[in-house]
Amino acid sequence: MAIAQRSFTGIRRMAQVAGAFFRIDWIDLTNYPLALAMRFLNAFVPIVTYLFVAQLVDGGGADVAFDYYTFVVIGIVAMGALAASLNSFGNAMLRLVEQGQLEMFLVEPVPWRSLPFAMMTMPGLMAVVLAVATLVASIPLGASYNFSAIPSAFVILMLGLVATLAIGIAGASVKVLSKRADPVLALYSIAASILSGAFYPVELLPDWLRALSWVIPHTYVMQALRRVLMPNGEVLPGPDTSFAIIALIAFCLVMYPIALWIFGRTLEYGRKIGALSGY
Amino acid sequence: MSEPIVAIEHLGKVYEPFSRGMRLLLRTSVKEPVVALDDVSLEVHPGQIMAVLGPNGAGKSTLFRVLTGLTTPTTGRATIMGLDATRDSAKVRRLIGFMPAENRTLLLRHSCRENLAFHGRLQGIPEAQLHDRIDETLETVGLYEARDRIGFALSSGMLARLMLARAILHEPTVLILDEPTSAVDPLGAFELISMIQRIATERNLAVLISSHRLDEVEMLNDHVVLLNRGRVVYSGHLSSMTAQARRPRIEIVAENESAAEKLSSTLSTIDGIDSLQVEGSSVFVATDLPIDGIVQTLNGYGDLIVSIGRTAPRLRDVLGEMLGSNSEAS
Repeated sequence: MAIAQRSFTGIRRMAQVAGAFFRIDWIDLTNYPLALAMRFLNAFVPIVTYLFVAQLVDGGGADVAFDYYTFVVIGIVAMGALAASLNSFGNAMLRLVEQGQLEMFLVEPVPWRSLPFAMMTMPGLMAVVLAVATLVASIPLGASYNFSAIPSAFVILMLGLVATLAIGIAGASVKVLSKRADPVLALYSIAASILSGAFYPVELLPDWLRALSWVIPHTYVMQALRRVLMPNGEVLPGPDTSFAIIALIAFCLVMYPIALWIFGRTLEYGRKIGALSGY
Repeated sequence: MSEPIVAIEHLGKVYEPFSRGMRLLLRTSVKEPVVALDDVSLEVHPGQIMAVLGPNGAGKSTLFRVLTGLTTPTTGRATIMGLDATRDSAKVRRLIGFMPAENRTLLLRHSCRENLAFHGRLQGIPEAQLHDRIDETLETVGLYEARDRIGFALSSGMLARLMLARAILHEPTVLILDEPTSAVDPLGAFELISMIQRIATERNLAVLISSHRLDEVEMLNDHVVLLNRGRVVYSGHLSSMTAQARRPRIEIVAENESAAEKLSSTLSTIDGIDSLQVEGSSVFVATDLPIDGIVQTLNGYGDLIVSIGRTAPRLRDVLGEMLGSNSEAS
């Protein structure tokens, strides 16, 4: 009973902290309306570009058993949403350091390990909104989706965002100390753009690279999203959706304790050597 | 006397040069260990305002960083209401109201209310109480009328008051104020210090305040701890500090500035004068000599002199004397 009450209090407190960050992020977002409009516009550019690339693929005699345009739009949308989850926390931490606000946040009685989740509520929501808007915008351009699978797609996307946030937390930990360089996220982003199959099926990769592609959560997210959202997604090679979901959950269970441990240790180390301020 | 709210025992902090791995991430100019705090002990009681003084690099900010949990001590410990500032940092941070020196720690694109609401939520103030508490706090610091103005639209003095509001919103037991008036004009600084005094008295707070403005310290007229190179040079009431000054001072008010210069050059020829300072038409003499001896020396200059009398040592001189002798000793 006492444990349940403590958990409830903890969740309520976490929600209050997340709400605090959400509100200030919302004000920040709406303070710069043109920047917000440009974000949406930028998100739509690749789906127009790939409309023509798809014509080349589909009309060029390539042996493709599925609608390449829908395939690549899902890849672009997933890549964009996961990149937001991957980079937002590190960028937010760097911004706090440069604005001289990180220390002020650390003086507040908020458990440091809860900061990544609290600070990611608005970027996470924006990632989902942008993903939905991009998918909707691609429909008049010729993409077709299985609308009955939207709830499943939402679950998969959320799992993907949560899984990549774990990597983002580990990367942000390095950024807190290095202020600039972020080898974790830089290397992961390179790996994700080549191995995840955003623009082509991973089956095209050489065997040894394909094996590596199943180590990163991006690949599972794309695979599962395409299988549920594309009208004939089941024809795609690779593991089925339930396997991808289990893999993403397993990834979260393994990565979160590690990422939060690294983040906590980094802040403790920064506290000891006096490296939490300055840049 | 009441139990101390803040108790610091033999606190030491040494910043080591970065390790080789850390230097790969970020270069630093620190090549040798830097002793920021060395065996610092002090207590602050409820209702007491302790001014932390010292030149740049004396260790004031490091002391505040240890208390707020932003850095860890190398030796000794600091407790607040019996809680260890390092081990129980999360609980201690609820008891502290912290006002940093820089106003960029505020959300400058956000209104006064939004700034306080954000801080209040992080502090865990229930939503039902939050808005009333914000309005009351803004009234206390005289910003209620400006409650919906954003940070960029406020003057430096108003920003300082907003930072004070943020520090007291959650009703802390201890206020830690790091150079609160550094960006404020003298009149605004006077108002802010009066406000801090009033709040500390009304709420029985223990206050630690650092400042380079000695007129403010004199205005507070409470306890003082003087740090130099991380060590405590003096700790006690301000009045005892000025009484400890080694040399009494004599002020000679001359007719004009050139007369003051003339009197000063005459006095510089006699033995037993420790220092001579000319400020405008006044000459300040630090000496153990009786005042009669000075009057005799200036016997032929009566027409240049308006008055001669003993004067209380200025805080600036007392600090200079104390820091000077401390440097000599070390």
